[in-house]
Amino acid sequence: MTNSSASSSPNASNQTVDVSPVLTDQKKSGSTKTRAAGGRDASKTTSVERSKKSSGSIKSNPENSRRKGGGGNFGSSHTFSFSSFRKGIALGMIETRGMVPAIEAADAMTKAAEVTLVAREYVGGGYVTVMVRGETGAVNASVRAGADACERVGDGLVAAHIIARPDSGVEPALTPSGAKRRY
Amino acid sequence: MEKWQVKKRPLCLERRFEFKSYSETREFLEQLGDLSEEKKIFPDISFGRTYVNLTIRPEGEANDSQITDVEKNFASEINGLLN
Repeated sequence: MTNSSASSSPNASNQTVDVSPVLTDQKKSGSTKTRAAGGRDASKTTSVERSKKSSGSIKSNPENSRRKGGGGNFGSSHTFSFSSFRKGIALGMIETRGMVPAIEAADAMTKAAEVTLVAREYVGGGYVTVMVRGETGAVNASVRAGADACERVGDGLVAAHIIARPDSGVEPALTPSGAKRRY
Repeated sequence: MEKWQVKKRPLCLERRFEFKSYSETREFLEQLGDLSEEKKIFPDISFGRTYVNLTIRPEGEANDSQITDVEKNFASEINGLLN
């Protein structure tokens, strides 16, 4: 009963807002064939909806508590399971020194070519890695553009790497860990 | 194909290119990208500000795929980008 009353009168203070879509591809859903084919379906829409529906029981749900406290918002994107429909598609990675160049690189990469930003990882020590996937040529172009962009921001560029055909065994390692910060 | 190393397990061709500045690195990457698109061969590329590591793998998916003249010629053409 209390749950139903809570959900009928949503309160901003007890809602979990999942920001992970910003770093996945929801903002551009449908702009590429793979996105459309991959189906921005129920599995994607549920992260926000689930938060709203369960707003009254967030505190009692260990899963939600973990997300809330541990910065696991991004980690929740593993439910999107990009890897399940992106096997064999090229992988591009850029590691940067600091968050600003990482964002700059991610922005440039997604603007430069039709790629999907699949992960942002706090590696530790101030290093951040962003990963994109897409067709090989697109990933090539996007990583070059991303490297250019973060190179302009301080000494942002640490390393960039493109794997044209990642082995399927690598896929589990490409799932965002959900770590918010590592020291 | 000089300066390329043939590695086994997994079988591939590798070479490291070093440059004096990021702009030189970038120029090389641009040319490499064009060449890859033209030949439809996409090597693994690892780069930083002043270096590029390239790995050319056999085209086939099978484990016993061999490096053919296609890959060797591609490697030679990459060498030509430095001139």
